[in-house]
Amino acid sequence: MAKALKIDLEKCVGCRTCEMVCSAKHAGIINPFQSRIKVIREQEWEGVPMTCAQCEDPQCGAVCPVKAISRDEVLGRVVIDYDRCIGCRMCVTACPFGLMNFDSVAKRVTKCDLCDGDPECAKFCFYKTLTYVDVSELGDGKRRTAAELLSRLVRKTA
Amino acid sequence: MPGWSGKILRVDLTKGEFSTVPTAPYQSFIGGRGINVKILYDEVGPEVAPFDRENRLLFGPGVLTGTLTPTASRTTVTTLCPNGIIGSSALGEYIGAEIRHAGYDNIIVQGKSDKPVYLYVHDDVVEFRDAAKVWGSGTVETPRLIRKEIGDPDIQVVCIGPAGENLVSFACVRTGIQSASGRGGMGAVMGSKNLKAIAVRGKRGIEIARLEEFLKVAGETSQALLKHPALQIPVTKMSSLATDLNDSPNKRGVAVFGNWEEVDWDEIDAKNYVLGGREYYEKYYLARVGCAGCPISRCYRICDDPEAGIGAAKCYSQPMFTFRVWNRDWQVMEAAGHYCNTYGLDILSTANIIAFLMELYHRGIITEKDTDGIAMKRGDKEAIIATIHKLAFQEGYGKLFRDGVLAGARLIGRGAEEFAMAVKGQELGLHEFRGRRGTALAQAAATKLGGGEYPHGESVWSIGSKSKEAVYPPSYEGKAEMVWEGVNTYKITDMLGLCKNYFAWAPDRSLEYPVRLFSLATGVDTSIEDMLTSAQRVQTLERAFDVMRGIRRQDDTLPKRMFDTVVPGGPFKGEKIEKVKFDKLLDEYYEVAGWDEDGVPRKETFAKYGLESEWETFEKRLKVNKG
Repeated sequence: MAKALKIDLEKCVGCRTCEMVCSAKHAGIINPFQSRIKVIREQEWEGVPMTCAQCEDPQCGAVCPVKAISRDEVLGRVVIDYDRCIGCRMCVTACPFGLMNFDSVAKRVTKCDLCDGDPECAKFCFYKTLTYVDVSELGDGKRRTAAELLSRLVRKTA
Repeated sequence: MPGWSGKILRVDLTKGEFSTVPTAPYQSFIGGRGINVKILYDEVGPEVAPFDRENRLLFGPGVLTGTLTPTASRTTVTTLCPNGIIGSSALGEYIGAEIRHAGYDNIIVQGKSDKPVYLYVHDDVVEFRDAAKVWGSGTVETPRLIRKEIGDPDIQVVCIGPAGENLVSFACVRTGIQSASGRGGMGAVMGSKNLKAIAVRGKRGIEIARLEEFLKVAGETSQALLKHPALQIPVTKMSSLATDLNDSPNKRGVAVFGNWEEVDWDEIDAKNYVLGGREYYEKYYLARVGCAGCPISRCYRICDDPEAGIGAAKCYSQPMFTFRVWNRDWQVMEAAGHYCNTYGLDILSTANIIAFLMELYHRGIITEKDTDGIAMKRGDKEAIIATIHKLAFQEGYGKLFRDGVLAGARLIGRGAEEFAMAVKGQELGLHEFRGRRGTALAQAAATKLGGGEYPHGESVWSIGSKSKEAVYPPSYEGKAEMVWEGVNTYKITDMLGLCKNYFAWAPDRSLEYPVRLFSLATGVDTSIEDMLTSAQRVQTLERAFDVMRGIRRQDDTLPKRMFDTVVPGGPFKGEKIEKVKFDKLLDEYYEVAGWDEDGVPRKETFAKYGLESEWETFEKRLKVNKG
């Protein structure tokens, strides 16, 4: 079963370590601008890591005029074939979450590739906001927390 | 030149021009504070006054700031401060990383703008932008306004508040809601240059010499820190107070009641002094937050105060706006802290001035007539809050203290000077140190204003000290060596961009990991010894800078009260500093540092650190001063 990057938003401290690690790994330089993952901070004390959702039916792939974007079912990810890519940035426009990036330094579109099955960001993430889990387990933690809450409420009112 | 960005940005506000300077010639000063100090030493002679165009305001992220080195988020701000000697204080959050990612090791600001401006630095471009719309804004609001105006939410900002604009000598430079370069009045120098803020957005990044190994060691360092017992609670689960404010300072004997006044700790119920913390947190606490790439990530607590609005506070506001000003109400403490931060006032100096006024009122030296009708009663809420406003906006009696507590005391007269608790014109720091000889020495002999070089209690900062006798706070033995080692160790954090809290959390409390990461980042193999030598080189120049400004042994002292009165409570109750022993300690310290009996660095000391040309400058400038 393929694995996925799980993001527990409530655990994020907004330290942006993931951005630095990601750029080090992919661009060979510590430069958050070139990171595939971005931490959005709406409030100064919040962090929301945003990275490719690895869609089952990716819009980026659908609009690609040269069919450079496809799904890799083994690793459960959406991949770019740079031999085909012409750099038209249609995928950047199409992605509903803004998670396809255009790296103006490398002059090409970039996205999370799950580090070929060993994501660096998850290894560094201090408080386990980012974990690499089996794709079927993505909802497990939340489901359990919700169940506990529900159970407490039911018992309170019973 | 991996590790370093390789260039320093120079901005001239008078001409509205900018240029770059190569970093390479400054390499022996490492980076951050080290390079700041070297530039200040070279470019600001004794004829320059703090608010002159020719003064420099330097921003120095460290070599490791914005890399993956844990806690390396810091930027040291250095200048000739309003009190006339070197001022240097570091701030955190994200600005340092952004400066480094924009491709600069340091930023030099010189000159003076005719009208309020802010700088927008994005990679190779520096824009001088009209600050009319943000002038007068608080430090929480300013970054938000600038991000909106430029239209990029990822911009990082350092700014001043109204206190800096009004040239208050203890105004700080802030990153916004979180962090401050608190001590030394850098905010006033920034205000004197009509510079409201520097906004930065960087897309260049930092090249690492041995990247793979660097990532491995950075990861190991983080994991080692994360084993600390206090970090086992996830940040987001921290809904209550991290430490008990009443318990810890009292037990460790670092609490100071009032203006270092004599008080019976039992009578005032010191152990249960501050009330309402838990209730306050339940109602107004929002989150804990940290800095760029930091595994600790919890040093600032954000609360939405019903009175002062949203703000963040660190540990300093707690003892300063409670014990120091006789306040027992948690809410008043939080509000006072938020106001100071919003206005850009240093909390330590501000609380010191309030404590001073309260003592004068208590002794009958002043009445409400001296303070615009406000009775400076001990612990009085109105007295605390009103004084903060008056200081920041320079209204009424706030004007007396524009140049600090000592200057204010001289203006009041009536023997008030005796109660001004300041060293070299700057208000004393946080801790009770009459029973702690190391802190006392560090406070008195510090090269930079700001209450010594030690951010932590004496037991923490005696890192590396081999002598058991030296570690015991009331002992005078081995203290000179310990302080010298501590001063330079902490200076390294400022040169590399590490947080001083690194030593409070790192299990080995050693420089091993940071120095290894420096070597891997730069490709320059460096030992801890080499790094300490570089720190001593910087320390020598800092002292030389102060000496050129007239600082000598007679200035390396403490307020009279420190020698005349005893610690009134806690584990070191009854201790006081013996003048004779203190003088001997100073002799020993000068000897270790390579300074003569008057505290002037010797020619051999300059030579020892390869500072021959700096010696020539020094000699020349001293002669000019005498003539």
